[in-house]
Amino acid sequence: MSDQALVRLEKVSKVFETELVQTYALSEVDLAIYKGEFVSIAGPSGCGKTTLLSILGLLDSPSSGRYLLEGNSVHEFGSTARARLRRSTIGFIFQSFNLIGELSVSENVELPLTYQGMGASERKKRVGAALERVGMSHRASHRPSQLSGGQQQRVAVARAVVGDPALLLADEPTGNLDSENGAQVMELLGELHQSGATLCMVTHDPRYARLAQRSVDLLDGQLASSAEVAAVPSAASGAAP
Amino acid sequence: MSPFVLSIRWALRSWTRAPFLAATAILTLALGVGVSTAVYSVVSGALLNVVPWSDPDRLVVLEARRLEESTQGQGAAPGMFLDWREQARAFEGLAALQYWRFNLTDGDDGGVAVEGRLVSADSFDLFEIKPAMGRGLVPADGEPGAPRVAVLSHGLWRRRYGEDSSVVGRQIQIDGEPTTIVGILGEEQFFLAPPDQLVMPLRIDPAAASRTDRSLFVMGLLRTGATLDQAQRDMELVIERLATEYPASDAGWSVRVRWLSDVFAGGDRATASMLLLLAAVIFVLLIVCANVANLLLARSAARIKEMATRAAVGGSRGQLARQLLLENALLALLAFPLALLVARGVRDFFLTQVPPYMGWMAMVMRFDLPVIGFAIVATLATVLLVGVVPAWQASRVDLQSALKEGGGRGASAGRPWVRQLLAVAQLGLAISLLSTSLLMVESMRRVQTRDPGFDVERVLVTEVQLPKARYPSEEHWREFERRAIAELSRVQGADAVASVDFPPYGFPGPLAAFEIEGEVTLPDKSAPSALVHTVSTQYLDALGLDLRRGRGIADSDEGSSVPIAIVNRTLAERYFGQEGSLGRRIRVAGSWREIVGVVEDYPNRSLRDPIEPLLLIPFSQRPHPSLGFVLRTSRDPLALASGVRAAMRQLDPQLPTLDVFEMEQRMENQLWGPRLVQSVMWILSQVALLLAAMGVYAVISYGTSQRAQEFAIRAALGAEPGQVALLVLRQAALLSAFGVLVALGLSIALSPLLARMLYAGTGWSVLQFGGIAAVLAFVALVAAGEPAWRAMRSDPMGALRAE
Ligand SMILES: Nc1ncnc2c1ncn2[C@@H]1O[C@H](COP(=O)(O)OP(=O)(O)OP(=O)(O)O)[C@@H](O)[C@H]1O
Ligand SMILES: [Mg+2]
Repeated sequence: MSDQALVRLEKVSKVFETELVQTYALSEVDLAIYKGEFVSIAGPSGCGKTTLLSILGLLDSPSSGRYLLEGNSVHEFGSTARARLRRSTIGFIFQSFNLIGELSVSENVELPLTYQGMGASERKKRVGAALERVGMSHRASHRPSQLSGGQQQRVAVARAVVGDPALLLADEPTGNLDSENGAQVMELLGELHQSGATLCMVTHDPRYARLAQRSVDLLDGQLASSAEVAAVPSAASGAAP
Repeated sequence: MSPFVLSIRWALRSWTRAPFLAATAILTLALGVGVSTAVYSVVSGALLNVVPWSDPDRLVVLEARRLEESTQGQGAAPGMFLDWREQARAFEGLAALQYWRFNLTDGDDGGVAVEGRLVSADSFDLFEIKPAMGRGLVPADGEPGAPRVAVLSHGLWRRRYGEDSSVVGRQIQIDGEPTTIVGILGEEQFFLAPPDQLVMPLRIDPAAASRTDRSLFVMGLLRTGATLDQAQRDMELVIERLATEYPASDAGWSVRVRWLSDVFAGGDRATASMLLLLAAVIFVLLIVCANVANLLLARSAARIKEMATRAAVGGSRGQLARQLLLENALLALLAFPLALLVARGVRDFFLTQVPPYMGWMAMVMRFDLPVIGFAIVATLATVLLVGVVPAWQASRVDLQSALKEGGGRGASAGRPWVRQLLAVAQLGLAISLLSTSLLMVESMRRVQTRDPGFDVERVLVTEVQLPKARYPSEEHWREFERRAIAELSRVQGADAVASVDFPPYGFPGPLAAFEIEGEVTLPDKSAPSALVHTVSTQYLDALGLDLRRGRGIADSDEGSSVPIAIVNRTLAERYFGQEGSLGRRIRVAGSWREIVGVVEDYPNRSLRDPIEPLLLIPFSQRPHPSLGFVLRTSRDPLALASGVRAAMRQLDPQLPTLDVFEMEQRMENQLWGPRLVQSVMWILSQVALLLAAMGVYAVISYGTSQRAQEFAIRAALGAEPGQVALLVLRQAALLSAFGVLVALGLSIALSPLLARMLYAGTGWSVLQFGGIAAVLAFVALVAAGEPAWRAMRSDPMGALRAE
């Protein structure tokens, strides 16, 4: 079973060296995420959630330990290979949306596909579908600055899922949203999970954490507990309702 | 503390917070304004200062031109001048000037040769020239038989007489005749051009005035209110009348009336050069404007928050804009003294390019009030011009969005297209300057690789003007010439010696009309014309010229034998074509001559000028008191110089000190002007390129830093480093491409000016295109390289931890 894990971290540590102090953002974290799982990560501010997620998302690399993604030791990969993996395998949803102001909504969503080198007509189709899915088709040609926060985050979700990534990562996706918009975005993520996506999400909000099958608590860079919230992961894989 | 003082303190402090930016802006301003000011002092010197009279808007020049050939304008013959003056209606008056080399003797030494002008005696009145001491010329001085008088330049008065004011009224010998000094010009006053040292009245005898010797430079003062066009039409009527009255000499010629200021600095070509330099100066200043504007825009974009806060606490738009303008004025104040230093340095460099005999250029390339005024205006205009836009922008900041943008996503980078536009304009201006300057280099290269016609490195030249008093008749001239050639031939190392009235690579004398036997000149066609040079038997030998056909001048060609002429190839081909010229007869200066030889072409005036038709006539058949001597040697010609001087002293110890030149030096001297223009242009284009590269760098670098967040997002989404860098490089490439388009447009606009001053046939070559493309690629790469490198290293983590 362990061989089927989509993500496997083995003794992953992350040390930030600043002038005088060394900060252990993560120490010897072991974590496995299975295909189709929905894992939520919680913990106090500064405990290393964002650090963990950025390592999972290949935005950053561990100081020590191994990271296996779909069985590949990606901690050994160079920057180009990591970039390639980022655009093909991972979808990232940021707390602060991070849409590019100069590009329109549809161009923003199209970006990962462009980097994958996909043909224009295929891209168009996929972008349309992704925007449809998050309910933003009617705003396709708008600029991000013309959207509300919740709408921007929905576009960001569309951008994260457009390439059909194996792993969807979200760092406090509702952190900058009011509760109503937050709920809408969470509903969207729930739907994505229902349709088979593997999700790993950082959130402070216990209501949303409950949506996940499994909740992981981080404390001072160490995994504190791993509570099964719902059914076993293997049962969920491939079994969409 | 008053609000104004407070504003100044704010301004000072705001610059100390951005020291790098302030220093860049100040240096850019100093460099641009400094170089421009130096060039302006050259241009104003050449274009403005040399026209010394009070009313330059009414001063014109009347140039004779042959109808069907677009050669340079010619002077007028004395007979024509008298008729023009009598018949033309559009002018307050006309004045004729003739270049003259005077022999000035006033003591026991040999005296000096002095350049100057014979001018119509009423021209001091006409142009309202009042000498600093004594009087100017008056009409009575021009009457036949009136006592001889002269006006000295300040420089001659200082050098020769140590500023002794008792000189006024003193009698000296000029050209061997007693002449009274009646006036001294002021220190920065000159009659027509600074090299003129001496002015004497021109006397024309109406009964014997020539109509073919076109040696007079005719100027006019337009009647108040008369336009150039009216004057032109008026002169055309006069010319028409004279052409029917004197078909032999006047038919086929026209007159063009031009502003003196257009003509002055040496004709069309020099004016074109000066205008081109002026355009280049404006280009450089525009580039400076664009650069500083870019810096200020970048700064004001970064200060939107500050401005919004100032406004939020009650600053009015006007107050904010004033604050920014004050900050810019402070920049100008700091840049100005530096600009003056740069200007002085560059101007001093230009002066080192001027040959010693043109030393008076220092006098016209002044560093005076107008030039300093130019620097002030250029600095202030630049700073205020570029300051207005950011000030205006900042003063109408949308408070709500500016303060809210602190939240900070999708922060738009202000108006990036304004900056991009400025960068494109800069590149365009710089490239067009570079291409112009390359064309000038190429033109000069062509000129210098042109065949000088003979072995200039082995020839020495000296000139002498025989004073009429001691050499009154043809017999004296013949005698002197014979003795001089004999004496010079004895100089050690002289292989061949000859005389010529107008030695090559100097003033070639006027074009004279001639008549071909058996051919009738139709009234509407211009008479054939040629330079006529009087030379001794050994002339072809002494220069080493090739005879193409027939024979040279022989000892047997005496005053009493059949008059002959030798023509150059251009004359033979232009007027005789296939039929051949040998044996044909032409009438020039009143006598029929048989053409006995055709000599190979050689440049007459300078390597830059086209070769004119030329007639060589034996000295023995038309003696002349203006004598030049050419010596050929197989040694270093200057080694013979002292021998030549000694020989001339031996001949006549009272003859003025003679200048001895190498022919090669004379040839080079003719090119100093274009060379100066070329090096000025080169400096300007290099400064322009440097500034434009800085500008492009600033724009791309700033844009890249503005887009850091975007690049991080792209990297987080899986863009490879190369793909991000490509975004930056693509921007640089786009800027360059548009820059080339702008440059193309500018070059097309400048090409008529350029065509007038380039040596015939100079045009674009593949090599130059390649060169410019390479330079451009280099500039873009340098400018975009560092930002692209930065972009390439965009950390995807930046997307997570923004702001
Ligand atoms: N680039 C860095 N340099 C130095 N220390 C860092 C860096 N990034 C994070 N840290 C430190 O690592 C620790 C974990 O940071 P991290 O951002 O992962 O926390 P977090 O759990 O996401 O907090 P929050 O809930 O506030 O977002 C913190 O102590 C933080 O100060
Ligand atoms: Mg965090």
